[in-house]
This record gives sequence, structure tokens and C-alpha cells, in this order.
Amino acid sequence: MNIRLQDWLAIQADRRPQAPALVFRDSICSYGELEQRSNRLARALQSAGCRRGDRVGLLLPKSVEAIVAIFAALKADCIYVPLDTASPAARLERILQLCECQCVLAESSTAALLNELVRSPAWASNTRIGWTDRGTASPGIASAFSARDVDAFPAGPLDSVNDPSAPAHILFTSGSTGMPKGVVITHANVTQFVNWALSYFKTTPDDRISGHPPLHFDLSTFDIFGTIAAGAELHLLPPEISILPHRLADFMRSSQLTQWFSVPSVLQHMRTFDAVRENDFPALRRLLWCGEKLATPTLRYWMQRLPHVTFTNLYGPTETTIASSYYRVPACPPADDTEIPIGAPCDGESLLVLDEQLKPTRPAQIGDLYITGAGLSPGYWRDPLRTAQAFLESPAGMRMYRTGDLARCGVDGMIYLLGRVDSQIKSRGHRIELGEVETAVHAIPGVREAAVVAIETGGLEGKSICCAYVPATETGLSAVALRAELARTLPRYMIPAHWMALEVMPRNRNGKTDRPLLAQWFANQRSGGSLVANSASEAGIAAVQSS
Amino acid sequence: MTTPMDRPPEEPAAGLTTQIGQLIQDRLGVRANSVDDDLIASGVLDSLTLVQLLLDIETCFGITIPLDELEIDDIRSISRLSRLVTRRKLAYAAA
Repeated sequence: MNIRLQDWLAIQADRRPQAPALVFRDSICSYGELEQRSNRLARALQSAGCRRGDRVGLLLPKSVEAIVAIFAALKADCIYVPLDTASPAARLERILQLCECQCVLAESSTAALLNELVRSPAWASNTRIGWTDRGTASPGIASAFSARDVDAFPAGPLDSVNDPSAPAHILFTSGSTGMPKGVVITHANVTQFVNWALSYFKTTPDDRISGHPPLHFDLSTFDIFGTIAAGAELHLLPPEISILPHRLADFMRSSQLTQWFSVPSVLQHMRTFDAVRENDFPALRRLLWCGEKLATPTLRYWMQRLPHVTFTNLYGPTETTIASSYYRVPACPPADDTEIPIGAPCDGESLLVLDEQLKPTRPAQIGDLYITGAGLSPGYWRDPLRTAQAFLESPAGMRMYRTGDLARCGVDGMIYLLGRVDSQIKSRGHRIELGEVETAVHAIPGVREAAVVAIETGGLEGKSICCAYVPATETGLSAVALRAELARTLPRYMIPAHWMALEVMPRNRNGKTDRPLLAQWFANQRSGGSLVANSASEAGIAAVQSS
Repeated sequence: MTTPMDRPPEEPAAGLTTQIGQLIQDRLGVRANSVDDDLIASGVLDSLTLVQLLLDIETCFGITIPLDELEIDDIRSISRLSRLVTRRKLAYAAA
């Protein structure tokens, strides 16, 4: 099927123009409106010089306007780059420098961030600025168009010329050297997965689908394009709701969601606060999660409370587009230590567990997990070296992606995950290279030496990031000051939660930093903490100790 | 990136806001610029740190916070958290 992502919108807008496509806070956007608004914005982008293959940066928080902007960029045959508006300017500067965007779209809430970016030396002077609401730039910064200008463009369809093999978006993930990696994803990469998912999950126009992750997460592309392809309703979650599990549950009830797709830390958080009632969310049909391992006790909690819902574990790194394998949990796991596999490949994908010689392992033998198939990204944006390191040739002569995950194939034919071969971790759904955090700490004046390790938080929230450092002077650098400094270059989710100032870094026999010992110290520090769950223990909350 | 909040109608006791500010600094390693800083928008409070902070507040002030009654606006800033603590203390005294 020769379809591009924006074609799905055109088909639905033609079929059911009045049907709601997006719901966010108090606003509803119909398919007809979404189609017309994105046509207008696509023309505005073209008027700002955007041509086929150009990048359009989206400095927009989750909103109806951001979804309009996604479709507008695609209709203008451009590649959209969702930017994390919660990231510090220093990190976005590196991303913008790599992408060389022809246009950056902003709104009033991101105007301050935009002004900061424009003033940085990294900003390309030929990058144009467009506004999706009444926001404006600081005096002296020129804008290509305002929201009012956009309204003046014709709303009729555009002649897009891209074919499905063209890149649709670039998603940036943490890079171990401190430089984020831009994963290029094509239209065909996304349509392959969405087509499988809609047919497997039997999605219909009656579905009401959650839009929980932020737009720079690749899971969000399934929510958006899966919903639009099915002609269903996408209910975007206001980001601040996530923090309070009971309010999150209220949202699921009042929106009458039929599909909930999230990350394990959210499911864990809702269990911690016991926010789910017996037979809650009567409209809900399916619950999906992806991004990291869901603790089996949490899965059991959910399955016991929601017997009317199907539970599916999806697995796949950004580089292989949304998900490459799935496992529908057939029944509530009998015990808390029952292992949940990542399952079997989705249509068009293959999962391979190979040994060091790239030969298939025997069942139950641990090996490296590789993925081949239609979801494979063409590679990292303008980074042939890292692309060549991650995308190899399979024994059968196909392109394959080295996930960095350790896995085994069970006797049941299912794939089970065991851990990482490197220092990449998952924390609250975010993929983090500890090397990127360490590089950022080292760059701070006043730090002589630093090491970043991760420890388990006892199933509460996945892994917790810990930083041990040696100050350059005896007067020292407090953890509070260091943390504040780090927040200027790293997003919040990458900032260590636990700190330890040392006089000397512990070494192993080879003279290298003794990371396992550091992890042990941090674990001891946590468990030896004075914090005890007393009143909050009524809610079943386990205590977490922070230094 | 912090957004100053509207000043709440009733001014919480300065001692209480200082104590809560100190708790946030000691336990979460973040120093808030003002009692009206938006702790959620600035990312100081997320799902992990919220659990931690609520526990700390309960322990420190000897109160319980009914989680299912908690609203986003109750926890948005140090001054709002102070009002929450004051309210819970009163509820305790009345019980």
C-alpha cells in the first residue's frame, strides 16, 4: 500500500469531516478541521522557504496545534523534529545544530526558550520562525509568519510529492558520548507498524485512544498515526495530570478511553497509590505498555482489577519504530516472579538472538538481540559512523539493528529480555545513556572526577541515577550546586537523584573506576536511610531515600 | 524555567514555607527560587519525587495526606504545599 502518513488524515477528513479527531483539555478538533488547519500551516511553511526534505523543528508542547504542525510539516514534504520543551536550551541547541531546520515553530509558552535559542551561537541565521498561536519573538528577532498569517492561506489540499520511503520525522535519543542521536524514521516505517497494530488490535472509529507520552517519545507516533488511520479519537493527556495517579484515573474514566498505552513507571505509580478500583474503567478494552520491563506484581495488580481488559506488552527501540514484538498476556500471571516475555515479532519484523560470531543461539542460551525488518530506521541523522556501528548485515544478508539488549529464546518460542550489554538504562520510560550524564557532569567547572551509575529502586520506578564526584578543591562543590548547574545542560529525567562527594574515586585492580563498588555504596546509603514509611504506608508506599 | 504563581489569598506562615523549602532542598537536592515557583512546570516534582516529598511531609509534620483527595494545585508550589499542611493540621486538631 503506497500510503504516506498524511494520506490517512485526508481519507478520514473526506469520509467523516465532523468526527472528532483530537481532544485536549477543553478543545475538540474534528478531522475536517485538522485537515484544513494543517493544509494552511503547510502552505505557511512553504512560504517560509520549506522545501522537500527540509527539517521543521517543533518547539511546541503537547497540544492540538502541535498535532496540526506534525501534519503540516509532512504535507509540505518536510521532516518534523519534535523538540522536548522541558529540555534546557543547551541540549536543544545541539539538536538544532545537527538538524539545520529551515523553520522552527513555537508558541507563546515556548517563546522564552526560543529567544534563548535564537541568541545562542549555535542558531543558524537562515532558520525561520513561525508561530502557532498569538506568541511573538523578542524585539529584534524576525518571524516568518504569525498564527494570523497562517489563517490567511488556502485550506484546500496540497500536492505532496514525497513517497513512503521518505523520512517523516527525526527522534532524538540519548547518546553515550554526550551528543544526542537523531533516529530518522520514514513514512513506511510507521505505516508498517500501524497497519499491523490496527489489524491485530481491531481498532475501529469508535475507539478513544490515550495520548500520554510527550511528542518526542516514539510511542506517541503510534497514538497519533494509529488513531488517525483508524478514524478514532485521540485524547491527549495534559502533562501535569500524570503526577497524581488519582487524577490520571479520573481522566481515564471521564474520557471513557478504550485504549491506554503507556510506560511501566506510570502503571507502577498508579499501583503505588492504589488508584485503580475493582472493575474500573468499564469502557477500556486494551492496555498496552512499552519502553521498559513491567514488574510482574504490578501487572497482576492491574489484571486482577480489570478482568475485562486485554494486556499487551510491546517491545522495540526507537531505531526499529514503535515496537517490533508483542506479547498478549493470556491470563493473570500466577505468581509475582512469573517472567513476562517480550513475545513474538510483529508482522514484517524478525527478532534474532545471536552469539558473538552472529550465529543463532540455542533455545535458552543467552545472546545479543538483533532486529530485522520493515521497521528499521535508515540510520542516525548525518552520522554514518554510529549508523554503521548499530546497523549491521545479518547472516542472511539483511540489514539488522543491534539493540544492545541481552535476550534468550524460550522453549515456548517467545523472546525473553535479560538486560543490557552497555550502560544504557531506562528510567521512568526515558532511555538514558549514563555516558551522556557523566560527560555533562565532567564538563562542570569544580568537578575533578565523576562517575555515574544506576541502582535498582526496588521495583518502584525502574532504575535510579547516582553520581559520585570528587570536587576539584577542598572547599568543595555541594550536590545542590552541582545539580543546579547540571540542570542547565541536561533534561530533568537525566539528572542524578542520589549524590556522593568523595575525596578519591575508588579504583579496581586495573586502575579503572570501581563502578560496581559505587553502586553498592549508593544502595547501602539508600537502605540505611532514616526515612520510614509510616502514615503513607497505609497507601502501600515504600520509602525511597535520597542523599 | 519557572513560572511564578498567583499569590494565594491566605498567606502561609513563613516558618512553614521555610521548613518545606528546606525539605525539598535536603531530600530532592533542589533549591526553589521562591515559595511561588511552579514545582511541576519546572520538573522538580515528578512521579518519583512526589512520593518522596509526601512521605517526608507526613513524617515531618505528623499528619496524613489523603492521596485520593489531592489536587494538582495543592502541590504546585511551596506556598500551596504549606496551605495543604495547615489544612491537614487543622483537620487533625478537629478530629
